[in-house]
Amino acid sequence: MAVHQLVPHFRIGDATAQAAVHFRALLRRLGLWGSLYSVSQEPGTEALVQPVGTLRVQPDDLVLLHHAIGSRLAARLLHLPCRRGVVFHNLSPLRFYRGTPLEPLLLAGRAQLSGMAPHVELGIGVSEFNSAELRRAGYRNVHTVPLFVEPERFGPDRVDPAMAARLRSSALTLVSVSRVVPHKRFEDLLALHREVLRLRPDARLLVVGGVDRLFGPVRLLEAEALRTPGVTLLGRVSHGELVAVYRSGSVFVSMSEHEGFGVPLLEAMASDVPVLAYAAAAVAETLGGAGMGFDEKRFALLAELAVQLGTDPTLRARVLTGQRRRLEADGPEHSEERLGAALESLGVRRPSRPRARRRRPRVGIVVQRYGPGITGGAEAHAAQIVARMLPHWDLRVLTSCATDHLTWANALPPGESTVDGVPVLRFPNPRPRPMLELNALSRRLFGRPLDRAEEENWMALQGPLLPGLWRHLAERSGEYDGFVAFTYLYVSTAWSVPLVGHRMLLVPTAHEDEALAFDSYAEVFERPRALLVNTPEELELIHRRFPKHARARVVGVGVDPPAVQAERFRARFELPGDYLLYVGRVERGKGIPELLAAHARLRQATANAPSLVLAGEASMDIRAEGVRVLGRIGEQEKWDGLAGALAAVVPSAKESLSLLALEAFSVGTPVLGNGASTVVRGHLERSGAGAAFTGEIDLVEPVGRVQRERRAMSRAARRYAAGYGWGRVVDAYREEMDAMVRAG
Amino acid sequence: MKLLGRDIDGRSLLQAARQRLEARGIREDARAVDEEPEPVLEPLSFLVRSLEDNEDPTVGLPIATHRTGLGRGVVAAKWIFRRTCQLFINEALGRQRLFNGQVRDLSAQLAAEVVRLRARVEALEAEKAQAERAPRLAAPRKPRKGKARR
Repeated sequence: MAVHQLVPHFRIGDATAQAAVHFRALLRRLGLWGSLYSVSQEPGTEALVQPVGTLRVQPDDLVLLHHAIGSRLAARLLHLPCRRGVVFHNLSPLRFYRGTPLEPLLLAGRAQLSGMAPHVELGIGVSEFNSAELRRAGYRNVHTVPLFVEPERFGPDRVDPAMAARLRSSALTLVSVSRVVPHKRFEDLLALHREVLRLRPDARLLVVGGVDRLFGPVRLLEAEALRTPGVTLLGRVSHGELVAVYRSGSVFVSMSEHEGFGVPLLEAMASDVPVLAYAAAAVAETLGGAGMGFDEKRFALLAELAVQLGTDPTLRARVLTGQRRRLEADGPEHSEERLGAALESLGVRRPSRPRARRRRPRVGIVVQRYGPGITGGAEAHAAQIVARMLPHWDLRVLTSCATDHLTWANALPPGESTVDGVPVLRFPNPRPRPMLELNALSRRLFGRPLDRAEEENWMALQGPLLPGLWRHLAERSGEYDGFVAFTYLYVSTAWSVPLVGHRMLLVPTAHEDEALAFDSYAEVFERPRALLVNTPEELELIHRRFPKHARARVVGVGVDPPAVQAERFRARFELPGDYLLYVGRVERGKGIPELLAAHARLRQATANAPSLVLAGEASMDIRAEGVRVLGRIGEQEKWDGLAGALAAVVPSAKESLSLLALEAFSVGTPVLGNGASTVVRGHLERSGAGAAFTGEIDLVEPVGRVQRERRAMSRAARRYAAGYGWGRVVDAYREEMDAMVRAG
Repeated sequence: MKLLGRDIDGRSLLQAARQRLEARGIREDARAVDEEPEPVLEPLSFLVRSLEDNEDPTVGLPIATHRTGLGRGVVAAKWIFRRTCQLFINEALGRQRLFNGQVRDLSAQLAAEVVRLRARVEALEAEKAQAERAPRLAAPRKPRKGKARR
């Protein structure tokens, strides 16, 4: 079964959108899969959220509607031929909106809430307060699943430096984060601030959130705020800016007279700013005994308390300690447990592993692409592991229909097929990857602090999106004894790992990459049973980024060269002189433009410069003197070519193993590698069989060195490659899988 | 006023703050907060009433804008349009008005029928439950044979 979620309008940063993304992360951890659907959405989120018109359900699926305002989704939910549930975020009180355009929507929302009650099997309140309201509206099976924040996203390292610099001040600073709408009582915030100004004339009030000018009085308040000294309306801000605002605050203040939960209260706690909040609706419950709540609005008295809370170090420290305790006690794990209990009330459980022990474990291999002629480091790695493990395991490859790694377009038929005797189950990708859009989004997001929805939106756009795979894992993982997944980066792996958790061995093939900074990848490294990494450098990188990662083991691959004939390659491609060989995808991301420029400089600097030979699928047009582009070559041709090369070249800075380097070493060929990759540098330093270039690629000196010392380097290369035998690799995989099967 | 929080001594914090206020010569009352409970709406009645309220398409919705400047001009233009063109609006939407009235009547009829049937089903279920309970209550207990259990 799938658990889909409906959100009336999906906009990153909105509470319901954030909740839906968080719920989906929890569902994955519970071994359940589902998609997000909305009526309307922010442009650029089409990979993450689909139009509700495309929703197709099966009878045992569960669809959860996030309900916070009157929406046409309520009517749609009632007529879905599957199980139904409501996640109630509460509705703003009518008394604040009489005579405004919001009134009919709020009224409709209340009527829809009662109207759905007899037709749904599950009511989820995001607070006990909301759950009580669900019961009053006639819901029977009601559970509370509190919203949560991920505290690490509000740490001091997530502050936007420009905003922090702009807000730096020693003055007492009140912070408020909410839309300026009637029930948030912005006028009370201003009243409090005016009282604080009487005590601290330099005090500031920073307000984050859009001003909803649809409501006449709000406009007047905005004008009043702009006249009041020390008030700054910051509007909508990015996540890093939000953290900077919180962390610039002396006290976080909420004067709201209605909160169904109050996520900003938790965000303030995670940002180490003491909270002073009017205990309306669910606020006291969200505070959970932390911070400072109050039940009457006496502004002069509250101003005294706000100043004391912001300036008395003892009081502040005590409150902050309590707030941290509150966050630890009721974090994502708590919500996961509650959601699990709610779903269990419908008989929904994670599929159990097979009871009967088989002689040979049945193993699913999860990889983004698979098949003959598919090049790519991780894909080749997966194919090699499949070939080596076939005598020991009953294998089935779970993959996409794509052959092209840029678009993930469905080129191969979905369903069961066989590749070299191995059963392969292919799942279609409903949405090709729009590279221009992805690149633009990457430029906008990389290097900046982000919230989960922004990260997951990027991950979804990166693809390949394989809802069929996730449904297969959620429903039929019990047919497998274990799984091995390749490449942390793609959602085909990233969203599969939590689904099967400790029954997964992950081969992360991690390297320095901007996306590795995303916290959303933490569960990919923390939840598998073990990580099988390629090099000590990769392990160090993972440990630095995700210190709580699963147990890891350096395994890598084996290299087993066939008999080679360098002359055969020279004759086939008419290469009379020395040449440098690159084998792999010929594209910008692999450092090819830099390599070409360096080769041009080498030709200018030396008379007997070797030619540069590029072998592999090319996605760029190359016309340069002394450069031969061979296109895709056969396996034997690759080995022959490597054996005859003066050196193999590894220009990419992003390598987790560099199979090319190991293959070159195994036939005694030195390597010229990009020293910016710690992995390549590690190979070269440990082997002594080549040279690393750093910064702007300079081939003049390294090529000269290889020409002078090739014989000694060749011996060193063979010695180093001898340590990469397949026997050790196969034993490691078998040990890990057997231990997994034994552990049950 | 009460202060909530496990990590604070609310009473002494309040007392100290009050003393500081007194020293400044300030006395204040709490701002009254309206805490009207939110209604639970019976959806069928609500929808029938909403249909009644909105059945006439010739009556415009309240004119509002969240924009300043040009937005106010748009509001004025809408107001002028309604004042000057109401005759034509009525003409264009005459049949819609009739249709809406029929939908309202139909919905009211169906809603009333649903309410009646729901009540009937509830009554029948209650009768059935009572009938099932009655024989169980009336069943005579057979005397236990053999050794008495302590």
